Amino acid sequence: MILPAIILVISLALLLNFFVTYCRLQVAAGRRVELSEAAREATGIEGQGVSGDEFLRLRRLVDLCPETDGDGYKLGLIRAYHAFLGVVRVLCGPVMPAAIAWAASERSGCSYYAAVALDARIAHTRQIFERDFLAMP
Amino acid sequence: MLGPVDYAIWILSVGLEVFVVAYSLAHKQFIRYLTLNIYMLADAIWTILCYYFVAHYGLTSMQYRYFYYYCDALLTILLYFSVFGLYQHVFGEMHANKYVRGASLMLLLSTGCVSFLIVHQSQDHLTSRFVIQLSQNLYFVGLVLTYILWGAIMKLRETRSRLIHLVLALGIYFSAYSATYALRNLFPDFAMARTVLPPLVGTWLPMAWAYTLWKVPEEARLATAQLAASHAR
Repeated sequence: MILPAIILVISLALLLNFFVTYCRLQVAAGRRVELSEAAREATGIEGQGVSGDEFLRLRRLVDLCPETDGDGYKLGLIRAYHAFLGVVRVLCGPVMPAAIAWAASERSGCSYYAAVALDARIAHTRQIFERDFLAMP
Repeated sequence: MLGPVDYAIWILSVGLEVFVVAYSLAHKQFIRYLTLNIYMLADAIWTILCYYFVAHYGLTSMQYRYFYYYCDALLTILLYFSVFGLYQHVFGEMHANKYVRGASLMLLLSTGCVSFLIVHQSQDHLTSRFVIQLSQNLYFVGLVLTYILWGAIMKLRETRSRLIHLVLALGIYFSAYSATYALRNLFPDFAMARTVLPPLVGTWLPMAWAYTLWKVPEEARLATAQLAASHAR
């Protein structure tokens, strides 16, 4: 019974490590993208500072637009990551202030990622509109 | 009794695995990611055969159980080759491929010997508990290999985005499976670890690899230094 318990603990720790790193890659990639003026107006975001609490509102806006270029997979992942960070905030809050700061920064990244996805979807929807409707004779 | 969700997950898994192979063939990357593609192909065939065994013998039959667990163990060993394929990508520029090949051969031989000894000693009681232990150990070895590879990627400041994504997806897969089997070992009556988690975790790898090959270009670069720095913070 000891060996499976050790394997379980190590596996869960490494799962957490791989999962967080994988999600951080996506969030970091999102941070490198500049939001368009249209998206800033639609979301009310200024600069790169967006609160982690905005994530759900942005996700709802993203869901209003049709999926673009198979981004549903990454958005699902970011949603899971955001939920995980929420758990970290609640569990580590009283004892680890550094974890709170880290989780807040990452949650902000998740929100920014959702805004970037929204931007891409708005642009894609506009393209479809211009191609299929405005071009109609 | 399997429900529509189980069949949907099966179909999704096979579809994604076939997509990975077809995409690699179409973009002339089949040889470049040979071990990954062979594993995806073998896994797709295994999934289809699982359906055959369920349809002909039933979900609770011994035939299905033996086929499922022993082929799963063989597939895990096949996945080791994918890990070593990724090692070769990481160490390729250092001309260390012969050492990687030697290490993989040694690991394969030692895994084969240890597995043979375990099976030989336990042949009177080759129970489902035994195969769960075997799978747990095999997945854990895979996890350790992947973690070492990830350590090498961080140490060498590897920047190839696609490679990093492939390795991280593999790490999540191995660790999730290893944890699932350890849970089953510790709590045999915990139904979720037996029915819900394995198909979900099994779908993760083809999904993540399919997405990576499709969306992350070969030439994309990433600063792992940034990642390492923020990890250390």
